[in-house]
Amino acid sequence: MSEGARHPAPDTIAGLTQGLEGWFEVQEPGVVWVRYKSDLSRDALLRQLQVKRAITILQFDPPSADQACVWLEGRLKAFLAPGSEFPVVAVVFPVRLQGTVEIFLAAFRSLNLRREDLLLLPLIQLWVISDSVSAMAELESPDLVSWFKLRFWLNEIPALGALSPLNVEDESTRAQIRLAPLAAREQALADGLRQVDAARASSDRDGEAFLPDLAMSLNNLATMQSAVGRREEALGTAEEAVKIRRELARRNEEAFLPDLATSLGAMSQVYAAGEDWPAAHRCLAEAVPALLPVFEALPPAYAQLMLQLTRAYLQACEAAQISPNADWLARIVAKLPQQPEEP
Amino acid sequence: METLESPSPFKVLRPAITLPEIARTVEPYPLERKEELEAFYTDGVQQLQGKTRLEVLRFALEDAINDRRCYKAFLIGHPGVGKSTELARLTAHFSADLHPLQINLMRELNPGTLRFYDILLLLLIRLVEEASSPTIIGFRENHLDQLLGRVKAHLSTKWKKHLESSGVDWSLALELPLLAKIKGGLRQGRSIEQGSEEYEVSFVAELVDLTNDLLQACQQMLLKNKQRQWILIVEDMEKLGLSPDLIRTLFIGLRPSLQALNINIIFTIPVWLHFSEDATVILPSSFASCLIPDIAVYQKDHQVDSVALQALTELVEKRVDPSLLEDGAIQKCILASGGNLRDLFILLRGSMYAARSAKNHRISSENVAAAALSLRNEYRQRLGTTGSTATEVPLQEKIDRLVKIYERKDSKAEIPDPALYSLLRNRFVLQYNGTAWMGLHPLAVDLLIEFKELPIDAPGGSGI
Repeated sequence: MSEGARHPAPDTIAGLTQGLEGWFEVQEPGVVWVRYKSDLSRDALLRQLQVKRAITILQFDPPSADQACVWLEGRLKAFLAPGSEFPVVAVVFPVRLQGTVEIFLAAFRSLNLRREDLLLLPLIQLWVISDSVSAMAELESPDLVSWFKLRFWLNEIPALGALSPLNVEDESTRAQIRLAPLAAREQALADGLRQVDAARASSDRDGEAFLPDLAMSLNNLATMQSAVGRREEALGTAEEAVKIRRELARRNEEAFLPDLATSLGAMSQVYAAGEDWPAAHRCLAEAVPALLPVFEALPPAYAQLMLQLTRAYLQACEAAQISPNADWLARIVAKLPQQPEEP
Repeated sequence: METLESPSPFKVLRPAITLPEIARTVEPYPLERKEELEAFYTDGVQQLQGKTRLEVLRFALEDAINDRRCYKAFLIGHPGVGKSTELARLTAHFSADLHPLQINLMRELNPGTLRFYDILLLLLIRLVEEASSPTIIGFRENHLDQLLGRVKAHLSTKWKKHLESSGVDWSLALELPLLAKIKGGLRQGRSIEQGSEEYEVSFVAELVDLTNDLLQACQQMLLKNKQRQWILIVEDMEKLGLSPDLIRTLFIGLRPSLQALNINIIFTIPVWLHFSEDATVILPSSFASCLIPDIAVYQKDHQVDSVALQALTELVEKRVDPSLLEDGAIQKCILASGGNLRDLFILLRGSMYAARSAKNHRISSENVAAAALSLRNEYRQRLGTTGSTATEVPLQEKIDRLVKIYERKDSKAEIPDPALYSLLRNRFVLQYNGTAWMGLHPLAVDLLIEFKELPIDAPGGSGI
C-alpha cells in the first residue's frame, strides 16, 4: 500500500473517515463540526462512517427557528442510551431553513442559547454543514462554535458527472464547466453567483423585463452548483428558475414554454445526480408535455431539446420503475426528423 | 463556586499523559470549581491579563466589605479571555466575606424571551431559596416568615400572569417545590407577546423594594451568623447573542433597579455596550468597570513577547504533559493562537487529532501546522461578508483597517466604529493591556500576507 493510501489528505472522504473513526474510539462526547463543499461528499462520508459504526442521521428541521434548541435537545435525548459507548448522531443542517438564510441564522442563535444543554449531552454529535453557510453560523454564534470539540473541512468534490448541454444556456459557460478542473469550476460558480446577483439587481430595479435574464442566470447557476456537488443549493436555485419561468409561461406560452421545459430539465438533472429518480421523473413529466405543443408547431427549432428531454425522461422512467407516457412518445416520434443531429 | 450543582465537565484534572487524554483536559469550558482551578489555573496569565485592573476591582471590593457599603461593577472582556474563570477566582478569594448569589442567564432564564424583570424575579426567588436554607443563612428567624408571606402575596398577585405558564400552584407554601416550579417557568420562558406588556412600572418598583427588604433581613442574619455579605454576580449577558437593540432595552429597564438594589453586584456585559456612545445613558453611572484584555504574544514592534510565551507555555503544561509535544510545538501553537485561549485550545485539540491520524505518539510541528492551517481557513471564511444584512462592513474596508492597525501609522485606526467592532468581535483585532493598544491576530497577519497586502516577510504572523 502506498504512503498516500495509508494517510489520505485529512479533508477528503477517506481522510476524514479514518480520522473520525479514530476519534470515536476516544469516546469523548460533544460536538464535532464538519464543513463540506459537496453534499454528495457529505453523504459518501456518512455512508463510509456507517460501515463500522451505527450512526443515526438527524435532519435539522425544527418547526420554527426560535424553538430550534428545544427541538434539537428533545430529538437528541431520544438517542441517549445506557452502555459503555456513547451513541453517535450526525445532525445534518440544510443550506437554508424554510428557504431563507435569516431563519437559518436565527436557528443558530437559538442553539447558542442552550449550548450547555446540547453540547454536554452524553452523545458524540457530528454537526454537518455546508461551507457556504458555516462561516455565517460561526459569525452568528462564536460562543457556541468555541465549544465544539473538533472542527473539520471536507473539501473533496466528487468527480464531474455527465453534464447535459440542456442544463446550461450559453456556450461560454458550457465550455467553462466541461473543461474546468475543480478550482476553475469553483471560480465558474463564483461568476455564476455574480451573474445572478446582477440579474436580480436589474430585475429589482427595472421590473419584470429582466425576469427572463434572471431565470437564465439561475438555471446556469443551478448547473454549476450541481457540478461542484452542492446539490441542495442547486435544487433551491433550480426551483427559483422554474417558478419564474412557470409564471412567464402562464402569461405567454409560446414565448416561454421552451424555457420552462429547459429549467425543468435542469432541475431533473440535479435530482438525477442524487439518484432521486421519482423527483427527476416528476420534473420531466412536466417538461415533456410543456414542450410538446411548441415542438409540434415547429419541429426543427425544438428537436434537439425535445430529444434530450425525452432521453432523460425515459431514463428516469426506467430508474423509477414508472411506465412512460405512450401518447407523448408517439407524438414526439411522429415529428422528429429522420436523423436528428447529435448535440 | 462550590454551590454549582452540575458535575464538572472536566473528566481529568491533571495534565494529559496520552494523546486521547488531551481531549479531556483541553476543554473550552471556564474553570469554575475549586478543583478545576487548582488543576489548571496559572497565575502567570493573570499577571499578563491586566493584574492591575483586577487588583483594583479586588481592592475596591475589599474596601466596600470593610466599610459595609455596596460595590457595583461591570466586568468586560472579549469572548474567551477568561471572565468566568476570573469571577470564580474572585468569589473564591472572598469566600470568607462574601456569599455569592450567582445568576447565569444562559442556564437559568430563557434568553429567547428574556425581559429585564425576569432577572429581578429570579434574584428574588433565589434570595428566598437562600433565606430558606439554614445552612446558608445560619438559622431562620421568625420575622422572615412575615416577609416571605409578602413575597408570596406579591408574586401571586402582581406577577401571576407572567409566572402562571408553568402551572404554578399558589396554594403551596413558598418553599422548595413551589420555588422550583417558578424557576422552571422562568427558564422555560413565555413567548413575548408583541405590543402588550404584562406588568406595570409600579410592580417593578414594588419588586425592587421587596427584594431590598428581603436582602436587608437576610444580610443581617448572614452577618450575624456567618459574618458574610451578599454579592450578586450576573453572567453571560454578552454570550446570549441578543441584538444590540434588545440588550439596550434590557439595560434601560434594569438601570433604575440595579442602582436601587442594596447589594454588591458584578455584572458581565458585552464590550461594545461599554464603549458605545449611549453607554452613559444606558448603564448606571454608579457602576465601576473592569476590562480583562487579551494576551499579546507579539509586542508592538511585532517581536515575540517572551514573557507572554512563557506564561502561556506554563498554562499549556498544566493541561498537557510536555512529553506529548515535540520541541517547539507548544510555541508554534501559542504563536498561531495569538494568545487567544479559545484558539489555543482549538489548536491543541486539532494538533492532537492530526498526530493521532498520522499514527504519531507525540505532536509534531507538522501536526500543529495542519491544525493552524485549518484555523486560518476559518478566519479567512469569517473575514468575508455573509450577505445577510445590508449594514455589513465590506471586505476591502476590513482589510484596509487591518493593514492600518498592523502598520501603526494612523492613530485613528484604533478608534471604534462598525468596522473595528466587527474585527474585534471576530477576533481579528485583539485588545491589549498597558497603554490599551490593539494588534492583529497572527492568523490575520498570515491572511494579509496571502492577500499581498503585507510583504511576505512581514513579522507578527503565525510562522506556519
